[in-house]
Parts: sequence; structure tokens; C-alpha cells
Amino acid sequence: MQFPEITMDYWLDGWIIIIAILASVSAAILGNFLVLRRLSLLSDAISHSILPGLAAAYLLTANRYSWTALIGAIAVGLITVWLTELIGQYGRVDEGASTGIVFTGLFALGLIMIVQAADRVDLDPNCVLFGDIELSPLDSIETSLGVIPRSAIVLTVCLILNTLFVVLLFRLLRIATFDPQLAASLGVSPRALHYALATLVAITSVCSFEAVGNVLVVTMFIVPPTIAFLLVNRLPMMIFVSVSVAALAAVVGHLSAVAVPVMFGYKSTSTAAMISVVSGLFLALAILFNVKTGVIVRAFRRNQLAWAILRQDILALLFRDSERGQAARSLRDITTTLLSQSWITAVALRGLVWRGYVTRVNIQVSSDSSNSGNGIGYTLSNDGRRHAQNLVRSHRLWEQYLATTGTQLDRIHAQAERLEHFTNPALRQQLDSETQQPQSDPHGKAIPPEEK
Amino acid sequence: MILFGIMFGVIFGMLWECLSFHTLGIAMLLETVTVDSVAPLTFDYNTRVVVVGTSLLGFAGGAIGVLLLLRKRALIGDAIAHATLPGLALAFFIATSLQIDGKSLWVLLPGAAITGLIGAMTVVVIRTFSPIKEDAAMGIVLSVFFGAGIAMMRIIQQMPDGYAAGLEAFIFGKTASMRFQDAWLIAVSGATIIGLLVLFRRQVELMCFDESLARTQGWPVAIVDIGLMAAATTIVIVGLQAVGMILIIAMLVIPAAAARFWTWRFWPTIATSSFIGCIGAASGAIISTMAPRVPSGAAIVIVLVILFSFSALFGRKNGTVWRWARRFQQRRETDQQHLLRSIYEWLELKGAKPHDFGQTRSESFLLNELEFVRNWSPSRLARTANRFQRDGLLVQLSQNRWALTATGIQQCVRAIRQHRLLELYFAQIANLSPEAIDRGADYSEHALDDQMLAELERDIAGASIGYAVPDSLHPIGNVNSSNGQSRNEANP
Repeated sequence: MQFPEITMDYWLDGWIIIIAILASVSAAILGNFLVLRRLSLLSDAISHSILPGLAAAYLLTANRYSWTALIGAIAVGLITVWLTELIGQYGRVDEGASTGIVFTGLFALGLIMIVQAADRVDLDPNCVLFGDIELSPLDSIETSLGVIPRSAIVLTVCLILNTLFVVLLFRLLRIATFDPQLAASLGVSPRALHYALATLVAITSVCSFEAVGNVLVVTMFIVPPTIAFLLVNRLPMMIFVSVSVAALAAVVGHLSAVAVPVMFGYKSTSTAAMISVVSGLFLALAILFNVKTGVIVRAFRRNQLAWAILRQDILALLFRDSERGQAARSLRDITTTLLSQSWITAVALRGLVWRGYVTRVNIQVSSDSSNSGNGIGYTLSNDGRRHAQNLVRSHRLWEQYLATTGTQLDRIHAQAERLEHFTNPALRQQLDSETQQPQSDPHGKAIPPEEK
Repeated sequence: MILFGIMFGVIFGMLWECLSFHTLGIAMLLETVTVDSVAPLTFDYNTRVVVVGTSLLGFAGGAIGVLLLLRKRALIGDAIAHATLPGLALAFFIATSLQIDGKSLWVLLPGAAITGLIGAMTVVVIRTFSPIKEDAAMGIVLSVFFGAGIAMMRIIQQMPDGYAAGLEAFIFGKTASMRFQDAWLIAVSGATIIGLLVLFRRQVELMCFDESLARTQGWPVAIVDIGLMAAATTIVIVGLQAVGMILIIAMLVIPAAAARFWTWRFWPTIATSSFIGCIGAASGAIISTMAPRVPSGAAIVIVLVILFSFSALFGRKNGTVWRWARRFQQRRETDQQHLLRSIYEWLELKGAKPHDFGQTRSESFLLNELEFVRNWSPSRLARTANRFQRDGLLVQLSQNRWALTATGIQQCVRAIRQHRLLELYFAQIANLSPEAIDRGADYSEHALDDQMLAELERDIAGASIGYAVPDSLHPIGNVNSSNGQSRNEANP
């Protein structure tokens, strides 16, 4: 593997990136509402089912971009939604199943139309699935601003349309998304909004059809808004983040489509497919590491408490040792006493050493004959002693308190062992006064004084 | 269950026949009908393999589809299917670089199965460990895995010697590439799935209808669920060649949904669904062999959609035609009751109440003056009246003047009693206003049977009512004319 020598044609690659950004961003804007309204599969259904509408338009006009194509796609998109409702209502099946019936049927119809008309229309069935973004800059027209690819113009119009829809109807969409009942009581028909969204999804699918095809456009509808959904809480912010992620994925996607295969000795691969892969990777990162609900972040947080408790247990153990006059303990000794595992104890001890609560000393290990000799032991520092003393004080105060409430003596230790980790100075003060400032706990151990 | 077993036996038998002893059995059957007019109906050996293979696929897909539908997981098959593409590409890639035949199914299908299962598990993992909803999770897996697959396919296509030619068959399906052992593969997988389904029928049935009961009874729901996913994956994988990954989901969803129009019971649904799947797949495969430019996946889906539409129109449960017929019937009965009631009210207003004791014919009335039905169209009024005349309830005396016969009087009194008893009920129990009670009675009187009528007589009117018609609780003429419009709209 060697670092690739990427050669880029700035006109061609520049336009590919611009077209990719336009397509991703227009889809992502609408996608926010699809994801929030749990209509993600609507994009999948419509992007498949517009095929017969497009095929019919191609047959009629033999032109990729035409009003006929647009109208055909919108009509079939709306029919999809209507048929899905109808089948769900009368067939007593859930929405997923009725969607599945409608879009497979329409897609099959479109496929047959395309194959039958293959001599007359330059539409390759494979291209239907993943588009042909690499070739789209070649189909360009002269404008007053220079030579501009046709699909860039179409997608710009689509982006403006989607943006206007979201901006102008923002309040309405927000109410209808988060509180459908309120929206209905305000006179907003949820069905009208549903059909409006379906229309725009159909328009966006048909505009980005040549660039990304009908499967990969689903990524652009769903993935960036889902990432934004994981990262932020408020709708305007979510839309902003989703649009930024979509644009970033488009740029990184094209660069990796050009660069990654070259590393393995091949030529570049499909940009649309790589945008999809890159978005998926972004999403994986968001699922694992986002601040609110990230899998790893959550696991870390959950474990943090366990670690803190283990560290406190070690401190308390060392404090009790010092009461008995034992100066230090080895790692192995601590592990067996606390019923822990040695690597976990080692990590916890490292944390304590790093905080300055525990210091390493050399000790004579004599308890185990096979392993006798010099070893490393751990003992409390002054800081650690103060913390440990308060912990043990909490423990013994709790024991005393529980004993006065009439809890059986053989149970108080276990309860105090738990409660000691969640006791602050104020609570200790209260326990102290509730139990008339005892000098020793029910087991006869002295209760150490509070340390500031 | 029995039907189900027989059906599977027959199909399996057909496979056996045409593969091992193809001079006998089905082949013979087809030879005997070989005349010029039905020449396209006799297939060569290859076509027979394809047809039998795909019909088995349709059979097993139909059965598993019902379970997925009941578990509301119908579209998971779509995610699995799309997620097989990177597996296919990767398997081909690795095998080719190891100098193995990359196009062998023994290489491709395990690869497809691995990423397909990873896709299904990713959906579950995303749904469980993040706040992302299931629909978004499926869309994500579907499109991202497919994207990865496409990226790899583009690279594979750059390999020399046209190695990759033929891999596209898995996307749209190409029955022509099916061979003898592929049909066997489908047969064995299908038989295994059906066998497991029959073996675990109790658990599966319980899990589909009452998951929590299944749990409390100690069945390992999670394991049965995983088994179901594995079965769905298997169907998808072995069906890739015939139907293609884009449309294979139709084999799982459409037959099951179509069967719901015929029966709502569990095993009959599975049998019907399998039957529909089998017929659809077989005819689709036949069409695509006769018209080679039609992708077989698309042909199968179109046939399945036609079968679905037929079921949706004519299915005994909720089929559109039956639903319309029922609605038409209901509307007719409602119209008849309304006409009878308005006849009674007209006569009552004129002081000539019909009595169902001793009166063989009522006083005559003018059809066009009846209150309640006065904004009916003339044809609707004439239709209803003429039907009554045919049934011997009414007689026509002159152009506009009609009278009730003895039977007519009985029916008429029954209709008005129903209405007024209900009015009494609404007035006493629900304490509604006179207008509201009239409307309420209008809505519900058509659903009143003799049992409920007897209860109304006993509880509301009291023993004194006997068979008499209670008086109206509201002035008849005025209320009716002011309410005529809204009451007519209320008619279903």
C-alpha cells in the first residue's frame, strides 16, 4: 500500500462535489422531518416507486430532465402514499408491510418498462440503483454564468424549494411533528402535511436520481438527520447539523471514492456509494460517542461509579489496616480481600496514586511462602488518610444509626458498606447528632473524628 | 396444517420427478399436451428446474412472510437483502484473489449470508442501544450496506477478464443463471424451514400472537425470534439468484398480505400465503423464460401484485367487492326502515295510525309527502317503494297514492317501535334532548336485534307497553323538517 497520488481535474471533480453537496443537503433538510415523524421508510418507498413515472416520461420525451418526468414522479409518489394507506386500512397489515407491497410492485413495473424500452432510452437498470454522478458534469449547458452541469441547476432549484418549504412552514411543521394533536386542533391537517412531504420527497428523489440513484438517496434522506438527532436537542439546530453533516459527507465521500481504491491499486469507485459509506461511518461514530446517549460514553459513565466505589473501598481498607497497625498491603493482598480482579484493582490503585491518595512503598512479602521477598505495597498518604477517615467515619456512624433504629446487628455492616459511599459531611453531621455523638460503633470500633 | 403438508409434498414431488425421472411424471404430463397451440407450455429441462425451484422458494417465502408480518417485521427482509451485496462482493473478491472460482454459489452465498445477518443484527443493535427508531435503523442499514456493496462492485468491475460479469444477476435476479443444484439448494432450505416451522408450530404461533404469554410460559422467545430471522435470511439468500435483492422482499410480504384477505386464522393464513407465493413465483419464472428481456424478479413481483389485487378485490375477508356489497345491502335496509317509519309518522299525523291487529290494509298515503324521505332523489324513493311492492309490503293505489298491506303494517310497526323504544332509552338513560334522541335512535336502530328489543321493552317501557307503539317524544312534522338535512346525511 502506498499513499495515492491523487490527480484531480478541478472542473470535473469540483462539479461532482458541488452536485453531491446539493443532492445531500436537499435530501437532509427534508429528512429531519421524516426521521422525527418516523417516516424514514417513506423515502425508501418513494425513491423506488417513482421509477415507472420516470420511465414513462423517458419514453414520452426521451429526455432525462423534463417536466413530464417531474410530474410523473410526483404522481407516482402520491399514489404510493395513497395505496399504502389504503392497503394498511383494509388489509389489516402494518405500515411496513403495505409500504413493501406498493413500492416493490411499482419498482417492478418501472423496471420492466425500462428494460422493454432499452433501445430507445439510455437508462441502465444498474444506474437506477446508484446513479452516475461521475458523468453528470458532462451533461452541461451554457448559461450567462458559464458552463454549468444540468443536474447542478436542477438540484439547486430543488434545494431552494425544500429550503423554502421548511423555512416558510417551520412553525407548522414543528407543531405537527412534536404535537400532532395540537396541530390538528389548530386546523392543520396531518394528512395534507403528509402528502406535502411525500411530494417533496418525490421531487427530491427525481432531481437527485441521476446523481445518486434510488437506493443511495435513502442514505441522504435518513443518515445525516439521524446523526443530528443524536447530537442535538432542538429542531433548528438539528436541521443545521444535519445539513453540515450532509455537506461534509459529500466532500469526504468523493475524496475517498477517488483516494481509497487507489491505495489498493485500483481506479476510483462510485462517489455516491462512498458518500453512503462515509455517512454510515459518521453515524457509527455518533452512535458510539455522542455526549447524550453514546454507547461508549454511557458505558464509561456507568463504570465510573463502580470505579469510584472500588477506589473508596481500597482507601477504607488501608485505613482500617493502619488502625490495626499494618503499614501497607500488596496489590495481591488487596485484590483477594476485596474479592476483585487484579487488573481492575491495579487500575483503581493507579488512579489513587495519580490523585495522591496512596503512595507506593517497598514491603517485605512474607505471607505467601512461594512469593516471598521484596514487593511493592500501597499505603495511605496524608490526603488519602483524610478521605479514608471520613469514609470509615460514615460507615461506623451508619452502623450506629442503623443499630439504634432496631436493625439486626448482623445486617448493619452490609447496609453501612453501601451507604458509606453516598454520605456527605452534612449527612454525617446529622447522623452524628441523631445518634448522640457516639464514641464507638456497635462492634466496639472507635468512630474517628471528622476531617476537613 | 394437513393441506399445508400436502401442498409441500406435491411440490417437492414435482421437483423429484422432473429432476430424477424426468421422463416420467410431470415431464410425461407436459409431453402429452404437446400440441402446436400450447407449444410454449412445454418447457425444456432447464426451465422446469427453474420453475420448480422458484415455486418452492415462493412456498417457503409465503410461509415465513406470514410470521414476519404478524411480528410486524416485514421490512427487515428488505434490509437483509440489501445488506447481502457487500458480502457477495467481498466473497467474490477474496475467492478470486485466492484463485478460487469466485462465481461459485458455495463462495457467494455464505458471504451474502454473513453480511445479511450482520445487517439484521445491526438493525437490532441500533434499535436497542441508541434512541434511533426501528424504521430509521432499517433505512440506514439498507442504504449504507448497499452503498458499501456498490463501492466494492465498482472496484470488482475493474478486475481483468470480465470476472465480475454475472454478479449483477443477484441484484435484479436472473433465473436463466439457475442450475440444477441451485434448485436443490432452494428445495433443501425450503424443506428445512418448513420442517422447523411444523416442529415448533406451537411456540411460533404463541409468539406471534401473545409474546408475553409465551415468555411467562418459559418459551425462549428470543431464540425463536432469532430462528425466524435466520429463516428469513435463508429465504433471501437462496432467492437472490431468482428474484434479486431489490425485489426479494416482495416474496415475503405480498403473499402474506394477500392471504390476510382470505382468512384471519393462523394456519390457513400460512397455507394460503404459501399457495399464493408458489403460484406467483412459478408464473413469474415462466413469464421471464418466455420473455427473456423481462427480469425474473420484476415478473414475479408483477404476478404477485396481480394476485394481491385479486385478493384485495375478491377476498372473503374485507375484500373490496364484498365490502361494497355489504355496504350496499346495509344502505338498502336502512332506506327501507326509514321509508316504513316515515309512512307510519305520516299516517299518525293524519290520525290514521295503522294497527297490526285485524287491519288487512292501512289507510292510503301520499308517497311524495312523506317527511323523512323527502330529500331523497325520486329514483331512490321509487326504487325503495317498488321493492316493497315486490315483497308484498306495499300496494300502489294510484300514481302517488300507496297503502301498507298486512305484512307491511307489521314491518312498519316493528320499525317505528324500534325507533321509539330507543328514543325512550336515550331520553331516560342518557337524558338527551329531543333532537339528540331522534338522531341517536336514527344511528343505532338498524343494529337492533330481537334480543335487545326485548330488553328495551322490559327495562325501559315497562310491562304496560305490551305490543303497543309508544308515542313520539318530539313533534313529528316540525322536528323532522328542520332536521331533514342533517338526518339524511347521517344515513350511512
